[in-house]
Order: sequence, then structure tokens, then C-alpha cells
Amino acid sequence: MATEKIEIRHITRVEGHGSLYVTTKDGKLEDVKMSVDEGARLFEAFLVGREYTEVPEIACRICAICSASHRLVSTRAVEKAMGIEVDQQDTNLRKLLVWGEYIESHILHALYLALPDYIGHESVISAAAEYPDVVKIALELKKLGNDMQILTGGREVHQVTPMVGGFSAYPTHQDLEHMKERIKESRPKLQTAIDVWATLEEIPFERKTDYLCIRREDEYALVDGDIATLGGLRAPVEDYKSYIKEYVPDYSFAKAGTMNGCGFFVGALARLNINNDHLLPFAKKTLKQLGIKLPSYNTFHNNAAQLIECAQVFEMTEQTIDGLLSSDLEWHEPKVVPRGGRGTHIAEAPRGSLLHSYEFDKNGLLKKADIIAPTTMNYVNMEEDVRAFFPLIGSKPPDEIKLYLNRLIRAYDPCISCSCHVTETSGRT
Amino acid sequence: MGDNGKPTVGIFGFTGCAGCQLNILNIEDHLLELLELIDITTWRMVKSENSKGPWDIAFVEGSIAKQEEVERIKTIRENSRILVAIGTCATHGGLPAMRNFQDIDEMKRIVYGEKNDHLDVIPIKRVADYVHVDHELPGCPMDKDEFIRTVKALAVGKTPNIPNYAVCYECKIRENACLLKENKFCMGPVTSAGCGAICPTYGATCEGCRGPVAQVNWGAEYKILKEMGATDDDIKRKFLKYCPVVADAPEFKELNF
Repeated sequence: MATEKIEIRHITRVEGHGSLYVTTKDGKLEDVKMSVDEGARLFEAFLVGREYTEVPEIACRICAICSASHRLVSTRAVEKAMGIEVDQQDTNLRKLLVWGEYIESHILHALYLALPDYIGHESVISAAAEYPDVVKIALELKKLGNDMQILTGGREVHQVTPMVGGFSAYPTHQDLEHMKERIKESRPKLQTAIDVWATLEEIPFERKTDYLCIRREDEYALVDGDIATLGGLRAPVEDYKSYIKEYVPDYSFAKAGTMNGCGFFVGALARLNINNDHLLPFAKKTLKQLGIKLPSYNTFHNNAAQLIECAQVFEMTEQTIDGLLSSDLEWHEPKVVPRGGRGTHIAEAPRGSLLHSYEFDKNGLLKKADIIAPTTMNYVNMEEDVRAFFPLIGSKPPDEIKLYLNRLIRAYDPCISCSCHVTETSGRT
Repeated sequence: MGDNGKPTVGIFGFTGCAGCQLNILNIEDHLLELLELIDITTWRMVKSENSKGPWDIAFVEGSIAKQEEVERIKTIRENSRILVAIGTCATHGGLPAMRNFQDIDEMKRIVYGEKNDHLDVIPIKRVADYVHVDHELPGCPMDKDEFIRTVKALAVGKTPNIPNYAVCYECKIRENACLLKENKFCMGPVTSAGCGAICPTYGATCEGCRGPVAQVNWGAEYKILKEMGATDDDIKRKFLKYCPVVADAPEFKELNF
């Protein structure tokens, strides 16, 4: 037997353009290359010289699906640099914005993009004819997430209201009460989606790796916390460079993240593995129903983990809205006095940890930006997973191998636009 | 037309944030109805089985940012009856075209370090710089209602109606207080409407994401902003944020920054 190449150009049902190249010799895997085919936008470079007020507005355009998370992380990094404290009311409204994004993004990935593989369809569009009820629920739940983002951010993609130092407008008590009702009414719909998921057959694949996310001792951390790993690391965000290394692999110009020289996993499964002690009853019940034992080392569980997190976010949203309803919701103008300095923030975007780190001059113009997106962090782990997974599927027909590899990469919910400095590999096969 | 008598549609992403494609998915209430009107035969973000064309209508998101994309957009054009550019990256180059003003080699070094020789990076351009575009839906992101109206019009062979008046017009209809009068740097007077003046409605200034309005009067806006205390640098930054390609427009050059 000779050398064979398996080329997946492009990975479908993911956000952005990526390809996977696998080389085998005598049926054994020789080489794996994940490539990112997005054009380079060079955000970190053209942000230089921009005013602190517009940095989050520009930075959130790195990625539409994670735009609320980019907006929040960027805003917090600016605020830390400017020495601004954020009050509880604004913090809670920002949480609602990001949790709306969680519902929208997780439903999009789990039910629109991943589910068709489990039920033998090429897309949610073709699945709609056979499973109209499930697709209708998916549409309704996704809309709920978007409406939460509209309520707090003014728009579902690239929000309008979030500002450095606050918001340009607030929702009313009535709007919030209405949203709380909708969350309550939507629980049975989410439960139906979970019930459907519980009937699906999962691919048995395990590979021990390390998992990273943020962690707090008082709640399931999504918007603020310390860096934590399943391996036991706890570190303040400012120290990120000591742990997360970005490098340019010698076969490509894609930046990739490593920890202790190896890949690591970020995303819903990492958060469940590390922060499951903070799960609320609905999510706990869902975890049990879906039969996932934690820690799980099965990358495919990341799909189900997103549904478990939807249950968690439903409950957290109800609690947070209760908190906001007892406050006066009196709007304050976001006021900031610019100053020079550094600020770094890390939070959990739906598909994994996201970090922005900035340095400003005394007039509030950006001097330096470092942005590490979830897909950058997962990049090496994806390739390591392909290496470990291939022996399990290598004897299958080529089309099936391609399908399984597509499913493995898709399980990461990769966001290739997000990896704004991961780029270009055409011609390196 | 496809076998089912519906126009075939391809949805394509070039370099961008995928927000305009996402906004098509965000049409939750009408998505299934739209699928009654059109047959989406290609959409890599959503489907695994994708046709190689031809298409009756192609919707193209993103800017052209690498040489490979130049070839790809030409192929899509050759195989499409109608081509619609969606979102400001496709219609005007978008925010990332800011990188055209800087030294590309230096920027590559900032982002990727010294090992960057093989990066396929060309100046960011809009779709219409390479191929004929039949219709343009600007906006960052594209407005999803405008998209629905466009699909409905094209499906029955009509020309979509895309506004060419200023954001101020829609802002007045919504009875918003004028942000310029509150000394805020609003771009409403020089920006194309169609967004329903969403940003001023939420108390945030218009940032010009839909591009310059027809017969734009930058001179008057420049004067207002100067009177508010903005510097030439502030104004230039603002004018060129979402549509840096306007730097080449004769009206813009007349401003003499």
C-alpha cells in the first residue's frame, strides 16, 4: 500500500472556512493538518490607534456568533485598564446579554449543526421535513436566546447598547418580567430537545487531555473568574502568558495554543468537567438524564454539554432577573475618564475561553492588543484528537471516514472567524 | 430554477465575521416560509451536501481579502444569474479594510511574528471591485428584514427596494431626540438608512455602518463635528471606520484632512 491523502475541503456546518488534511501510509495515520482558510483580517494590528470607547465595538466584529462575548471581554479589559468599577446592576445586565448568546449559540450548534449527523441528515433544512416538531422547537429556543440579547443589547448580532462604563439604554422592569415568563414557558421546549438528545447514540471515543475554563467559588463562572484547569491549575487572568502559549507550527502560519507543550480543550465540556459543583437542579437533572459521567474525556460529549448548559443558563437567568427586578433600574450615563494602562479579561464564550488584553496610552488610544479566541486554544487539541480517533475509523469507507472526521471537528463548535489571527494554509498539503 | 420550480440559491461566506449569514439563520419566525419560496442548494455553514451551481441567486457575505477569494468570487459570478452582496464587508470592504491604510508587512509581523512570508494577504476590497454586483444590502450586520424583503422581491422577479436616504430620516420617524444636538458624534446625516435608525433609538450614535448616503454632504458633517470640538483625526477615524474604501471617493478627498 502507498501513501494516501484524505482531504476535507471544507469542513461543513461550522462557522468559517477550515479544512482537514490527513495522510496515511499502509492504512496507518502519518500526518494531520488542520487548516484555516479564512482571509487574514489582522484585528490586533488595526485596533492600534483606535479610541478606547470604540475598541469593544470594533473587536466584537471579530465574530458574529460570539459577538456578545467579545463585546463583554473587550469592554471589561478596557475598563480594567481605565480603572473603572462596574456596579451590580450593569454586571447583571451584561450577564443576561451573554446568557442570551449562550442559549442562541448552543441551540444553533447542538440542534441546527450537530443534530443532523445523529439522525442521518445533511442539514437542519433536510431534517425539517422528517422532524418538523424538533426543528420548530430549535427555532423557538434560538429566538429566545436572540430576544434576550435584543432585550439587553439592542440587537442579536453586534449589539448596540453596551458601552465602556455601562449601557446606552436599559430594559424596563416590564421587559424583564416578560422575559422571565418566557424563560419559564420555554422550559418544557428545552426539556423536549433534551429528551430527543437522550435517545441518540453517542460515538464512544475517549482521550485524556487537559481542560481549561474560568472558575469562581460562588457560582458557575461564565463572565468573570480565575483561569482553572481540570489538572488543578488556578491562576489570575493577568498571568495568562505563563500558562497559555501561542505558537506558529512549522508547517503552517496558523497560531495555536498550548499548555505545558500540549493541546488542551476549552468549551462547554471543559466547564462541566471543572465547574460541575455549581450546577443548579435543572442542569443536574439533565446531566443525569443524558448519562454523562464527569469528568468526561469524550469530545463528542461537548454537544450534549451545550444542552446541559442551556438548562443551567435558564435557571441562572431566572435568578438574575429576580435580582434586577428588585433594583431600581435607574439608568446612568457611562462616564469614563481616559487614562493609560493595561487591562486583561478572560470570560467564557459559548465555545470556550476568550481573552482580550490591551495597553492604552494616556489619551485612551490603544497601543497594543492581544486576543486569544477559543478556536485558537482548541487548535492543537483538535489535531491530537484526530490522531487518537483515526485508528477507530480508519478501516471504514472513505466517505464514512470523512463524515466521522467532520463530526469530530464539528463537536468543538469551532468558530473560525474568531481565530482572527489563525490563518491561511492553502497550498501546504 | 430547481426541479421544484423554486429559484435555486447559494449563500457564500468570504472574509468576515459570518454575522450576515447568521442573520439569515436568525430569521426564526419566517425561515421555514422563506424555504417555501427558494431552494437553498449551497450553504456550507448550514449544509453538508452542497451544489456547485449554477444558481439563480447568489448571496455573498464578506470582503475579498486573499488572492484565492478573487478566483472564487469570479467562479460564483459566472454561475449565478443574480448576485447580491450582503453586509458592509461585501458592499464596502467593512471594518477590516482599515488594514489597507497600514503597512501590511508590519501588520503581519505584529500579528504573526517574523514567520509570515507565505501569508496570502491582499488589500481588502469589496465584491463589486472584482465582479458585477446586481444588488447590495449594506449594514454591519445586514438587516434581516431587508434580507427577507429582498428574497421575496427577487423570488417573484422584482427589483428590491433599498433605501438611499439618510439615517436621520428614519430617526425622525421614530421620534428620537437628535444626538448631534446633545453634542454626540453621530454619523446619521451622512449614512444610508435601512436600519430603522437602530443605534440612535437605543441612545447610541450612528457609526456609519451602512456606508455613505447618496449625494453625501461630508463637508457639512465635518463642520458640525468640528464645532463640537472634534479634531481632524477624530473625524477621519469616524468617517473611515466601516467603509474605509470611501477614502478614494472624490467627495472625501475634497475634505483635505
